[in-house]
Amino acid sequence: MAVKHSHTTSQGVPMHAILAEFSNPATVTRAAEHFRDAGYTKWDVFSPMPIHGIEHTMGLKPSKVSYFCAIGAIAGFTIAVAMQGWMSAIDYQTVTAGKPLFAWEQFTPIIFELSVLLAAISTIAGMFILNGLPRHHHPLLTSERFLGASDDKFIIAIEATDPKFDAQGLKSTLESLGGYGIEEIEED
Amino acid sequence: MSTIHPDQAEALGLVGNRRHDGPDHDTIDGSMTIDPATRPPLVLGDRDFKSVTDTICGWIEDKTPSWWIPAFAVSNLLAITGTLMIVYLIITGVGVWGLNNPVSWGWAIVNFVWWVGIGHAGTLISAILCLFKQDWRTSINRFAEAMTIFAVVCAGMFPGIHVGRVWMAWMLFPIPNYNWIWPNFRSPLLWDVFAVGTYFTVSLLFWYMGMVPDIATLRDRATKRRNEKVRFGPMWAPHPLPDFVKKATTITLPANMIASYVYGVLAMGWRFSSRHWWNYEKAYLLLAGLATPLVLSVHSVVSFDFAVSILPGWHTTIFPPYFVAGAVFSGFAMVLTLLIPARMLYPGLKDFVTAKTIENMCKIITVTGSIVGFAYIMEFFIAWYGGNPYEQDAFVRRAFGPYWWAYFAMFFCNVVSPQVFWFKWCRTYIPFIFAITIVVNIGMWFERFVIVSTLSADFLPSSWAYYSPTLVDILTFVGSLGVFMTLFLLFLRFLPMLAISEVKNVLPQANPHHPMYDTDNATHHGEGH
Amino acid sequence: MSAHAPQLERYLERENIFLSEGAGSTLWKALAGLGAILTAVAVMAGFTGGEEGAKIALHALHTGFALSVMLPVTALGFVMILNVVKSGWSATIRRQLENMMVLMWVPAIMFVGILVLQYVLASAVEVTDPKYAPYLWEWMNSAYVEGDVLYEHKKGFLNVPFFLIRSLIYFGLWAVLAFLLSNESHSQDADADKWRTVTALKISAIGLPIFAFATAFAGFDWLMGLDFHWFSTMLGVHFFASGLVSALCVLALTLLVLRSLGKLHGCFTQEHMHDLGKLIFGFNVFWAYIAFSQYFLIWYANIPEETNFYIIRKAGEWQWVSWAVPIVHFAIPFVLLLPRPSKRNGLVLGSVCVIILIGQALDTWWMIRPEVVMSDGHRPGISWIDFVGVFGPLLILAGFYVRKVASGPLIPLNDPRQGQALTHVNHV
Repeated sequence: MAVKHSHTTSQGVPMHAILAEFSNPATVTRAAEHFRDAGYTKWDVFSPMPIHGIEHTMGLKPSKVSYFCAIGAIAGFTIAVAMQGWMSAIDYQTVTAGKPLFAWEQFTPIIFELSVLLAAISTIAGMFILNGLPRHHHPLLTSERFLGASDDKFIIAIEATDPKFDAQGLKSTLESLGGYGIEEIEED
Repeated sequence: MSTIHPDQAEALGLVGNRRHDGPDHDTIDGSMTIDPATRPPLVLGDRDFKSVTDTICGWIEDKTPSWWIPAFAVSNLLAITGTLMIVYLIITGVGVWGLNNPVSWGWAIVNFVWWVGIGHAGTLISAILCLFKQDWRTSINRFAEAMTIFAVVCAGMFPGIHVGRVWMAWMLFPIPNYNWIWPNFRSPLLWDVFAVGTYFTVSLLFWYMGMVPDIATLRDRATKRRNEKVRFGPMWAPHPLPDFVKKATTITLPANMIASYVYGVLAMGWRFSSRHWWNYEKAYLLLAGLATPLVLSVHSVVSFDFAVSILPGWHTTIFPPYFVAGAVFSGFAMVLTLLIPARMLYPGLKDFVTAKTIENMCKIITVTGSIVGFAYIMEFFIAWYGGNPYEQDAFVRRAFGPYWWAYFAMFFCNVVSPQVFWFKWCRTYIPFIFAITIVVNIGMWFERFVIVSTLSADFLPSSWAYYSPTLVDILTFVGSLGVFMTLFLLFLRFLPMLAISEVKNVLPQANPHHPMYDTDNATHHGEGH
Repeated sequence: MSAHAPQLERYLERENIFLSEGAGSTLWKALAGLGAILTAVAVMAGFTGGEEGAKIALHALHTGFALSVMLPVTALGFVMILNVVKSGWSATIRRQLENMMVLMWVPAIMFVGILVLQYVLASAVEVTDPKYAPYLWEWMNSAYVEGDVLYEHKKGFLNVPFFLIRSLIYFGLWAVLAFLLSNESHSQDADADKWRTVTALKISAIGLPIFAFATAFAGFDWLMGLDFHWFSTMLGVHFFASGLVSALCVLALTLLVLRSLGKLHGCFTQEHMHDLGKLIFGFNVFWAYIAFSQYFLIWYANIPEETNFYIIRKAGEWQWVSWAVPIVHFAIPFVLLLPRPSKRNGLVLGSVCVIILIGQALDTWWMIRPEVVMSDGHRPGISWIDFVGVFGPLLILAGFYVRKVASGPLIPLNDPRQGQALTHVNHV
């Protein structure tokens, strides 16, 4: 990756981000409002569970997962109609129970099941793709403090690639917003 | 800059979103509050986020409980017995079962439908109750979803071995073969393949996706433990140790190493980002939306196996919704059958699975049991109303014929027994609830048996024959129970049995606008009412 | 919650939750009057149109009656469900369902009218063969059922006295339940006794099983009984599912209209719209599931006495109606209502409700009307009488509904869960 590391940590290593810990969802929400209004783009809030309303606080756009779901459903529907139609009515014609070769009624159960199957798979796949997962190594995961987000801590991290990034200014801002345990995270 | 941690201090007295304007009925035991203006707390014990994590993860990280190994051994033994029976069946033939000419479907199909039905409660709890915003489900959904998956595994076994020549089972799928023969898409049995296959896959994905954040929590905890090196070495070693000895005698415990690695892989690198949560919640809701019609469709398709036929007693248009209600009914009973002992065995589980949750589940059992009873009565009425003598005979034979005992057991267990939950005492006294859930499980097995044994008197009286199972039938069924319990015990031991992040989400502290955080407007607290 | 209290008080101010004095008085009279005129025209057509006119008018009016009875009945059912599940979000919108359910007396009067009309027409209209006299319930025609083996079998159930007793029981049970629940709710308006909510819960819990049987058998008697050879265990469920989605659509439309009149700020927000949209979507899918399963099982098994019901509806011009019903009732609303934004948009939600209601009228008409068979065996298609016959009774019901809505507060005033409804939010 051709990322220009204009910021370095105090050890002189390229910096990935600055993070601060917050103790509860209310303070982290107030801090997030600040960063949204200040126009930051490469920042994130980490919390042990989804915080209600954080999407508005962070100014997130509606999730695109629905499109994946819709595409999967349409694909499943099409495949099911084509497969059953071709196999039963064209390629291997056998009359059973005196029913027409192409009877939509009999194909409905499988049409439904395949639509749901592919929709579900593509929804989950879409969720992971949109989130850039699986990604087992991430600079943030090297910080023991950051791991608190999986327990009871609320963390804000601002990435060094953000155009508004200014390490010193950010540290004091984070502190004034109630953050503590501010850390610089090295790029790896 | 240090910040106070208000969770623990202020959560006291703010548990649950209740309005403080009426007499506070004692909700301390978590039982259903009587006051309609209040909602009882979902999680008891004034828990903060940390104690939720510690309790749930603790069940996995602590030493194996003393009851676990014997329970696992017994389950394994049963599973092995079942496996041996299946091997015996495959090398001998389906004749080792009690099947006869009119009753060509025996216990295998009964067990299949029973297990699939049990699976339905998991999806109902995780999907439908999610859509209806029933927050009390968060403490049981993981448990119930796991049950779904293992039940579907057990269910899938039976049609697989029932085909007789299991090595031909691949013909169930539309795979091109040397004769260019395709499966018959007009057959309900093929719909079953797709329905159950889809159901299994979607349930598994849903379960796994729900578990990813919790596995990430386990990963992070294991990582922390891995980083804490443990000293080992003889007691008599010199006290400050030379450096090279120190290095050689501090190690990472292999268990922590393995846990950190395995949970790490399974967690997909989840890092609790809000941007991720946003997509995640949307996906979760979409999956709930997909799983809801799916769960209806699966048991409907199973009911089609019977209902599209023209056999008296099988061809009834109410079958699809009636099967679904029955499935939910038996599934809830099974969830309770598993939850009640688990509540006893795992300290702390009672704070999450409150008496209120159990009470709600009892009510659902009564509702679905009554729906099933409604369907039994409608079936009987329409069998008479339709005026078809064969249909009438099939129903009269069910209730008063050679299998009257099965019909009686079915009606008593499924329709009569859940009516006790109309009384508050019955749905709050845990041992009694446990007994009823067992009764319901038996009753639902008998329901399928009643339907299948209708075959014993078919259109040709000369071939009527009484069906009785053989020992192999019985042991295979017991074996499936063993498989189920084995998988379930493994789940309890190694995976988070409660949805950690979802439980945290229903804690009052999770709401950033909760008045407890209203430090600026502290005076507003009192004057609200 | 306490921090929001002053804002919530504002939502409960009188002009937000009451219509102005005398509002709707012209509208309800106009609707009911128009309905009465249309009904009268349909009745006249029955007397003047010969055999065909008489039969079409009877069946069209019966369709109007069936739709009119479905709405209050299932509104009652849904109110009971909301009470039983201790629903919080709906505490501010429940009143409109209650306004609907207390109108049970309107279809009861229509039912008497239909029965009287049937007997008057049967004797007044001349037919060549008394077997083909204009009866709605053919089994009531002794000339028709003479020697019919199946009728002989069912005579113990399908006879006029028992039929009347049963119908009386259905209306009686519904009316008692509707009265009790409405009484609790309105008394709570006055005395703010929150324990009335618990009483309502108990009434509902006991009422629901009774309601289930009454509704299923009403469906059997009034819809399935039109062709007494035919039977389907699912029909009771179908009847309920049809009514439920329709009642929810009427509820949504009522609330949307009130909202557009500048009422119900905070009581009926985009969030309530969203949830109502989800319910309509869900129950519409449920309707489709029930309707499809019933059709599918009968189609697949292909047993003559069952299949006949669908054969006559898949032949001739009725086949177009058979295709229109699933498209209008299910497919179009399904696609329109699927995306999240459309459930949160009043215009889209309202249009979908209208489409579903049209679909429901079409579905009920499709269930009842093809039963018209002439002496020469042909089954006449659509006629102008159908429109007046179906919409006459419906407009009467609509008129009384408007009167009822305008007559009192638009929300239950002192529901203990009001706060939960006013602060209701959908997060995802």
